Amino acid sequence: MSGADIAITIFEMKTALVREVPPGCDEGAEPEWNCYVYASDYDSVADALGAYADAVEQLHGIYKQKYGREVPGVADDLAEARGLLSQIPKHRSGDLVTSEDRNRMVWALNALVRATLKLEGALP
Amino acid sequence: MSFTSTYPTNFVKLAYPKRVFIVSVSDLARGAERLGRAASLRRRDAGRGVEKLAKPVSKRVGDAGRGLDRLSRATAKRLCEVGKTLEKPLRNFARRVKDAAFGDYGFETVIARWYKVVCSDLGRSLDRLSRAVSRAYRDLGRGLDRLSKIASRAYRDLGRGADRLSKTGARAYKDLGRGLDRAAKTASKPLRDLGKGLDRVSGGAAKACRELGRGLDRVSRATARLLWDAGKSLDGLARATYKTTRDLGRGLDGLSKTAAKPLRDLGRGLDRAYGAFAKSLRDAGRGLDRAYRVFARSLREALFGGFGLAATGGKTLLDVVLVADRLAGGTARLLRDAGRGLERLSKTAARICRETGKGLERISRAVSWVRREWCKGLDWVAKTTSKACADLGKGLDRVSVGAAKACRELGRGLDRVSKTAAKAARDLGRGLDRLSKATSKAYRETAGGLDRLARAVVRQPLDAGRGLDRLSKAVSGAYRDLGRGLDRLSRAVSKVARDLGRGLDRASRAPAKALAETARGLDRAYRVFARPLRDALFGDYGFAIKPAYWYRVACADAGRAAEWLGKAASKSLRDIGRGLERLARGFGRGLADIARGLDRVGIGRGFLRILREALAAAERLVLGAPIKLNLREALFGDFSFVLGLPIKLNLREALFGTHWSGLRHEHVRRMADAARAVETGVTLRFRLLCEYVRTVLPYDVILAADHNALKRVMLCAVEKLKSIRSKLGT
Repeated sequence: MSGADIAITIFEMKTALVREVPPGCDEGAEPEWNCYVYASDYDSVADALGAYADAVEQLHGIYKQKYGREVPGVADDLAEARGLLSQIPKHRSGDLVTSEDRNRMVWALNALVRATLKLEGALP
Repeated sequence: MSFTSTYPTNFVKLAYPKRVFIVSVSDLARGAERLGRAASLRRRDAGRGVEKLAKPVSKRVGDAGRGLDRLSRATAKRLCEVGKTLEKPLRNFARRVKDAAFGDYGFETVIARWYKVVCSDLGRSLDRLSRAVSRAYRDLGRGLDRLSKIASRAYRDLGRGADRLSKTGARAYKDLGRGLDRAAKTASKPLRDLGKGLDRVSGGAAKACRELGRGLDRVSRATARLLWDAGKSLDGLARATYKTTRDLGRGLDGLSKTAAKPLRDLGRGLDRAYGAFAKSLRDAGRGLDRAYRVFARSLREALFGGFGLAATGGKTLLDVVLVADRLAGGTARLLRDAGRGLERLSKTAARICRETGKGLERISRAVSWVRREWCKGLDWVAKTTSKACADLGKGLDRVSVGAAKACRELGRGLDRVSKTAAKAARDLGRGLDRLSKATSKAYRETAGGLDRLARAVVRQPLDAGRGLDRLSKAVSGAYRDLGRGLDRLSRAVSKVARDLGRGLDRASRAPAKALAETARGLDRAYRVFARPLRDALFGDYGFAIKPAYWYRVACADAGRAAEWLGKAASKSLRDIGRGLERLARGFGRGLADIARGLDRVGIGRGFLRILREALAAAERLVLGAPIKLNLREALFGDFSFVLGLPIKLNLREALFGTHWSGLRHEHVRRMADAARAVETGVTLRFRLLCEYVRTVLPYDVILAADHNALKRVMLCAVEKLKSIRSKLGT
């Protein structure tokens, strides 16, 4: 089992740990015990995104080792995603998740998706 | 019924009665607003009157609060005094108990273990007493705390009621009356709870005193039991000491008897052995002397007797010679035989003598060896016996000295024990006497303190009751005055309200008539609209009757229509784009010509670039985001409930996917990406899910779908990464 397999497995596990909020349980709605978007949910998303970046980096490393060249733009996208993720603070229970933090997660996810598609497009 | 042909017509039919209804409602709202202004004016006047009335009420309520505050302070002060009064006797009692327990002549120096038990019991009793007192104080404090909280809550409710009264008029007056009634009920409940709490406090104090009495009773019983056990222990100690001394004497006596007998027997045995040995030696000597004498006499007789060899030998020899001479022949033989006989005799005698000598020598050697061994044994015996006797003597001497010393020490110890025990018993008696005195004093002081506490506890509720009685009288007087005022006010307000109601009745008849006519009109319009809507929804082919079939058909139709619409739109847009492109080319060519001309006439290329950018902006304005947004809003906006998610996705794909993206370079690239993504089926879903992930604005509401979209995209990304990993291989 290579490092890429381990990284993908960790990413899959951390993604599975992200709680799926039932429909209608929106932020600001009438809170129930399991019907709310908590700060811990966003922390688990940020954690999974970090694992996503690790997995993409591992796959990019395999690509470089196999084909002897880098995929253009993947390293930049990864650096952008890691920079955005590093700006997201670790929330405590009861903290409010700001819209900036959530937007950083979305932008980091977009950067990682771009890197994934670039890596896939570079495959022969 | 065709979806595309009847649907807009139904929406138009739906919009007309809606507009009529909105106009009617706005007219009604204007009339109500005019009515509301007059009513609010009158309510404001009523509020001002109530505000004037609320001032004395709030003053009285403030006075009542201050009175309760003073009452609670006085109660706390008296409790503090009770505590201070009880603190000194309790401290004295504790000091005496401590002296009795740990003083110079305390229990601890006499019997530590029992003393610990007694002290622990006493400590537990005092601990229980202190806990009961503190619990009583705590309960009293809680009761007073509850009283103050309830009183403050009542004040707060009263204030709120007065505030509402001042703000809202007659209804507020009624609510105030109810609130005051509830406050009175609430105040009676805490008073009842206070009485119960004080009752529990007095019961707890009595119980604590009873427990104290029981504990001290147990202390006195335990003291008596201690003395009894101490006497028993001392008696047992004396008995054990006496028994030990007696057993020691008996042991020493038995030891002396047991040791003397074997020594005596040893001496006797040695004496007998020595006597027998000496006798045997004497007998042996005598026997040997007799044997020697007999042998010597026999030998002398044989040699020198009358018939001995020496006396008769010559004659015999002469006779023998003569005989031999005479007898010639037999004399030699006879002599020879005699010689042989003598030789044999001499040999035998020599052998006998030699053997006898050897035997005597052995005997003498044996006798000397035996004597030497006996001497050695006797020497050893003598040495051993003398040493053992000396050790025995020394040991007996030490034993006698040690026993005498032990007996003397025992006597002294018993003397000290008896003195210490007597002293301890005397000290114990004194301590118990002091304990009993201190206990009785503590009882007396505790009883006095508890009596004072009970009096204070009784007096406090009494005072509280009187204060509350005065408060209730004052409050009831205020209620009565307030009720009278409210009665007058309610009469005035009811009159005003009656007049207002009549006016409103008169005023409402005309709007009611208009509303009735509006309702009839809306009813007619609704009937006209509802019938086709009902047919559409609940008809033979309506949504509710055959939703799944219709939905599938509608989805398919809508999908086809959307596809057709998308193709037509894309075609028309493509034609528009081509036309615009041609137009732009022509326009650009014209612009180029104009630019050349302008260039020739002196206008620079910068102006041409500005014109080109303006044209590109116009192109974006025509074909870009606004049109997309309008189309998106038209298709997925308010009426999107008609179209399910598959249709939306199909429409989205048809309108904003491959066909739409042909209009711009960016969309062309997206179309190429989408075409590649269709190969795997994963990337398409990936991209579609990414469409759902939206950024939010500050203070925007984050929906559950926004959060879940992140997880769905990441789940899709996992599949994508796995496919990339399998393509990369090892």
